[in-house]
Order: sequence, then C-alpha cells, then structure tokens
Amino acid sequence: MNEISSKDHICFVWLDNKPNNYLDKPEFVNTETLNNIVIKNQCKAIIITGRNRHFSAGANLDNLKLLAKNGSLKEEISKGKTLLALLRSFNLPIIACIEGVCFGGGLEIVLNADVKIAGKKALFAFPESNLNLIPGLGGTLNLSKITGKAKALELILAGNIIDAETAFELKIIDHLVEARSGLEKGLSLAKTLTENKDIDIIKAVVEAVRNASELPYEQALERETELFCMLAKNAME
Amino acid sequence: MTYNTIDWKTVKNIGYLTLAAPPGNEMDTLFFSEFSHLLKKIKSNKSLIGLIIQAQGRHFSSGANIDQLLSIFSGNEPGIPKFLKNNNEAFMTLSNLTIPVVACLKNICFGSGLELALCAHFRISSPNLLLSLPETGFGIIPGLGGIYNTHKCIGAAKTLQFVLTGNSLDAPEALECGLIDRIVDKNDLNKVAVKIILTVANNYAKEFKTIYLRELFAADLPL
Repeated sequence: MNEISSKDHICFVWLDNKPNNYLDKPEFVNTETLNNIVIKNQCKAIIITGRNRHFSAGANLDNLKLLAKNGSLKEEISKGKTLLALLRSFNLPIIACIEGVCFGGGLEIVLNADVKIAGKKALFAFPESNLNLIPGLGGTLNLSKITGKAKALELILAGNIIDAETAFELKIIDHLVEARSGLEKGLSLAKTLTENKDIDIIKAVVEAVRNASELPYEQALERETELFCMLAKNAME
Repeated sequence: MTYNTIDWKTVKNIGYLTLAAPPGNEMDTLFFSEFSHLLKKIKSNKSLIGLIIQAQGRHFSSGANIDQLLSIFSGNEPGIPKFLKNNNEAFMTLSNLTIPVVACLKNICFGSGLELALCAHFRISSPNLLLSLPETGFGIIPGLGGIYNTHKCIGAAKTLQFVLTGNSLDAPEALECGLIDRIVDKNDLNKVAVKIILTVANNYAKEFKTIYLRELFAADLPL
C-alpha cells in the first residue's frame, strides 16, 4: 500500500502496489495524512518514489472504469488534484526519484516535482490516448510547459515510450543517474538543499523559483522582493 | 551629473556603465541610488545602440553591503521599503531595454552583482570567474530578480540547488549550465562586447525584442 513516512525532516511518499505500483485512485495517498506528517515533523523537503522495481505504471484501468460507471470519477479526480495542490502548497522542494516504468498518472505525479531524478533504465510515457483517454491530473499542461507544445503533442497523442536519456534531453528529467541509484541521489540532494537551512528560507526560495515559470516578470519580481523583505525583517529581529 | 560609484560614458553611441568602487565594487546604498538615477537617463537616451556593463579593478562585484541592506529593515515599516522599490524599478528598466546589453564579468560576481549581470541579455566572462548567490547563508534570499533570471537561464532544479546551497560556479561550469554565454580572454572582453552590439545594431531592427536578442546569441549569432 502507498505510504507516507518522515525521517530527519524529509517526507517520503512511497508508491507501493506490487508489482507495477498501479494507482488505485487519483488521490494516491491520503491528503490529510500528508498534511499532518509534513507539519508535525517540520519537513523541509518531500521525496516521491516507488517501492518495488518501478515508479508507477499509472492508473489502474479497471478501477477507473468502475469509477466512471458509478459516476464518481470526476469527484475522485478532483480529490487527486487537491492532493497534488496540497503537495505543492507547502512550498518545499519536491524531489521525484524514478526507476523502471513511469507511465500515465505516475508521470503526472512526477511533473509536479521541482527536481526529477531518474535511473538510466527508467521509461516514460503517456499511454492514455491509446485507450481513448487523456492525462487527467494536469499532465498535458505540465508537460507542454517543460517540453513545448510540439513535443508534448507528440508524446501525448502518439503515446510512445521514451527512455530516460530522451526524457533527460527533453528536460522532463533533471538528473540522470545509474540504474537503481535515483533514491540515493534524491536523498543526498534533499540534504544538500535543506541542511542547516531555516524552513522559512527554503519556502521563500521554492516559491520564488516556481513563480519564475508561473508569473509574469513584473509580478514575480515584486513577490521575490516581498519575500526578501519578510526574511530581512526576521533577520533583524 | 557625475557619480561616485559608477563611471558613465558613451562612445560612438554605445553606453559604458562601469562599476567604479574597486577592488570589490560593493553595492552600497549610494551605488543603488546612483544606479537608479543613471538608468532613467539611459532609458530616455534614444541615440544609444547598446550598453556595456563592466567593472573597474580585479572583480566584477562582491554584491550588496548586507549590513547596510538589513539595517533598512530595523524599523517596523510594513511592505517593501521605497529604497528597494527604486532598486527593483531600475533593475526592471535594465531588463526591459530594447538595445543589446552585454555584461563583462571577471573574478568575483556575487549576490546583487550577479543579479545585475543577469539583467543583461548577454554575459561574457574572463576565464577567471566565480558566480554565486550566497544570500540564503545570511538568512535572506536574492531579492532583485536573481531567482527569476537564474531560473530563466538554468531551470528550476539547478536554480534550487544554486540558491539554496549558495555554492559558487566557475566559468566553465557557468558556461555549461547556461548562466553565462561566452568565455573570452580578459583583454578581449571589451572588444567582443562591442562586436556583439554592432552585429545586432547593423543586422537587426532597433526595436528587436530582448527575448530575440538572447535567442540569437544562443544560436551562435555570427560574431
């Protein structure tokens, strides 16, 4: 079962559903539990990764059909979106560590991360269109922001599987590492980013970095200065 | 008007903004107010075809005077102090200039010094260079667009690492990740900067948008 844990102020979200870590529903871990663990343990970074051999093969289609049949699909997807929104709302660095397959819903989760690390043998795809579906958790939007419209259309409409190296070239992946060493790299990076750093500074930097791709220059700059002033005031107290 | 911390001159319609407080070219409150004043002048100068930002002495700039900067916040004034608003406006004016702006970097280029350089369209550097945004080590963050502009050059993951660790990059590393555009011999900095400006001025419409300037350079503009 998927699980959330915390150690040394790092929150771990484990995808765990043998053998391929299919996601039984869009809210892949409990939103409230995530909130409680991050707050209670004063987490400074969030690592998302898969147990077993894979990150995740995506949504469990049988479940999805069932949800569609009984009319609760939209509600379930909106719960999934709420979870992803909460994940980002902490303004902590989100690091995804990927091995094996990372398809569909799995890739959508990854696209919410700030830092994406993949072992060399990882594989990526949005196979939804082959099943007459589209990615439903913001994947279309997040992918085209990273790769541009042309590549995003190709990946989503053709549904091709790409390897880690191609994903790295397309900037879907930030760090390419030896197979099965993604988590190790993610952990050391999380420590590098957060050790000896005040949580307020981490949050300010993460927010400012995200604003750079989400806000126009003038607004992003004003917010960056606001955050600066907030921290400067704290530093003087 | 002459400035104490900046040397300003124009030669053949190219503006030379030289940081003139060697050896560190530390950016104190006097520098920022002179800089704001000068930028207004540059913005309204329609005869300029390009701008070169360079520095006297060994280093480009060690950045802002942190103690002086923080002392502005010892009062309880809410919001963004006027001083910072002015700095912001000046940096934004620089970023939005529609003439090519080339920063010539060397040795130390830290904090607000780097934020200044990041407002330029092109950054060329001598082989000796150390770039860093060390602000988080002082309990603050870069507040003059440094995070935004770094992100534009190197993306989210590397920006997080660069800003949160405060680690420095040397010239080859900065070139590799895209934070600077060229490494040239330190004696050629000026020559190359002028060449870039003339190439743009002679080949492209004056109103050419800044974004295209940057892309042209990335695509190996014929120099």
